[in-house]
Amino acid sequence: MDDTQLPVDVLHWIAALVPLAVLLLLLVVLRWKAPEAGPIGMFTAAAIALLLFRTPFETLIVGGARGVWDALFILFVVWPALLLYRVVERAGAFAALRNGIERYTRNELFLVMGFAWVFASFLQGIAGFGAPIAVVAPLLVALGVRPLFAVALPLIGHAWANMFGTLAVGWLATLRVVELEDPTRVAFETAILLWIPSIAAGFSIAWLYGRGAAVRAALPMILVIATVHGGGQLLLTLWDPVLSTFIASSIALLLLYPLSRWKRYSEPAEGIERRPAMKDEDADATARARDEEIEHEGEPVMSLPMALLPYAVLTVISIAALVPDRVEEALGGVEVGLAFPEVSTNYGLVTEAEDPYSPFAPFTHPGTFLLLSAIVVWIVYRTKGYYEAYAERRDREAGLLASLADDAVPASVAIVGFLVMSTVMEASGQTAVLAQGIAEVAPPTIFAFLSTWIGVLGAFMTSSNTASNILFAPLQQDTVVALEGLRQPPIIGAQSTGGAIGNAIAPANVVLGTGTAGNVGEEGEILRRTLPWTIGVAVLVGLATVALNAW
Amino acid sequence: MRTVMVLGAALVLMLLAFPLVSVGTTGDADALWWIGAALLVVGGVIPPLTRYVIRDD
Repeated sequence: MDDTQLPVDVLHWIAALVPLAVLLLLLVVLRWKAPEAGPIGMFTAAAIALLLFRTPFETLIVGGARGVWDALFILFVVWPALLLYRVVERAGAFAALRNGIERYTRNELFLVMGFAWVFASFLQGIAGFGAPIAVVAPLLVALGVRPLFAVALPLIGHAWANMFGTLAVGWLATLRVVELEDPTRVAFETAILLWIPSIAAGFSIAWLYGRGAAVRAALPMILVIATVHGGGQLLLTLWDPVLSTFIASSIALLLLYPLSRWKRYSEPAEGIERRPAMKDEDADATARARDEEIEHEGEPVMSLPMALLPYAVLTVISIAALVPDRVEEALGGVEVGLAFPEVSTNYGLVTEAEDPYSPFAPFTHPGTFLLLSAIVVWIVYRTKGYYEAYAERRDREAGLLASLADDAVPASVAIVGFLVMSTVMEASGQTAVLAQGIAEVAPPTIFAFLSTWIGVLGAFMTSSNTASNILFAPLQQDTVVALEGLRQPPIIGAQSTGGAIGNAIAPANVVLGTGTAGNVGEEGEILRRTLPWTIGVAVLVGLATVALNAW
Repeated sequence: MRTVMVLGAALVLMLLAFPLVSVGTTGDADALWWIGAALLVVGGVIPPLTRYVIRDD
């Protein structure tokens, strides 16, 4: 990554930015569908690698094949998550869940906040790789949220939990690639910065739901949950960073019950006149539509506990597999993968041989937890006769597996395209030139501000906080050593926080949501909502990094 | 022809490239990794083309 022969100049820096700019242009401005835009980004990165980064064809193809393998890690979440979604939907569980929850509270704002922020964060605490978006988006659609917002809201809501979520896989990867002088201090200062997206998520989701009136109505909930999420994680990093997000997000989830008993959140919120996130902006019309739907479909085919079964099973399986050290060690020991040789560019950038490359541990992967959950839930629901009962009330629909393919194939093509683009950029040196270009021209204070943006860039390219840190944490560390006036904890913290908030605009995450929310093709519209949020939060985190660095 | 079927074929081609390139480049079997490269390129070209040449019934 730090090879001095790399052409770190204006021409190559702009050229390295082109694949990302093309991808954003196609998705956001021209509104192409993600499976169409992803491969174009891939070919753009390859063309620039060949023409301007002196990349031999074999290096390019090895880089591309590595991207296909990296994509499989995400595809193994996409397919089981979509299968779980279909298994749940075809049994009428979403309708039952919505009706059951409304017996506890008819406060739509509370429900939207609860699912998009609190439940999505909890899921990120145990199972990452985009699973929270894939699981929560259809739940929000069932509540009457427009599909566009059903994807955008959990993207924003879960972002803060990426770094120490999935039992801190991002943190553990950072420890592997950077030698930290004081890991506890780095984790603590990272958690300070992560508090910003946590608070911003609460305010933003309320605002997107119903503008200022909704923010005022949700204020106590925002303060309580953000304190538990951000403050809880901050304190827990002093004890064990690995469990910090999991414990904080679990406590926040439990707090939803007492909050739902409070009259403020058990009754419909008053005074919220504009509800742009909802399918029907008129709350009364939404309620009438639901009553008509219940009248048409009859009472739900299952009880609320049965409708909640998939999420309980998913939680139990994930915790059982990951939390006890011995179980995690035993299951994680089974790994598969293929080898790649050492390749290099004519600028001297070497990608070392790996055998196996990035091995895949199927038994500790969230995809396995989702798949097992889908199988268990399907058996239970089938035994109870829910599929037959619910099918009698519905029009004839395509088979379960045909529906799964309709949802998963376009998302999978897009994800392979994004990941191949990312690995081609990495293998050819485009990624390194982008980051080194910033590091070379920025004075310490400016670099402290921009370090967050490097993390965002990594997450946007790879759709992973972990991958962003593996790519860029060493560069951030090198810059701390090279530039006087930078401290390691806030800079690594800014990289990690940037990697977390970048997940809100990561195309693979967006595609995961559109797959389950049923709005494939709206990826650009979703990015139009999450991009301003990411930029705004990155500015705040950048300023906080400057302050922390001077502290 | 349904777009999802064409995209499915493109996906399979791109996924097949991974083992072929791995085995071809580590085992000095040039033909294998060239086939893998061709599959990756063809699999990548198909999805953008669906925008212009395929209409779902």
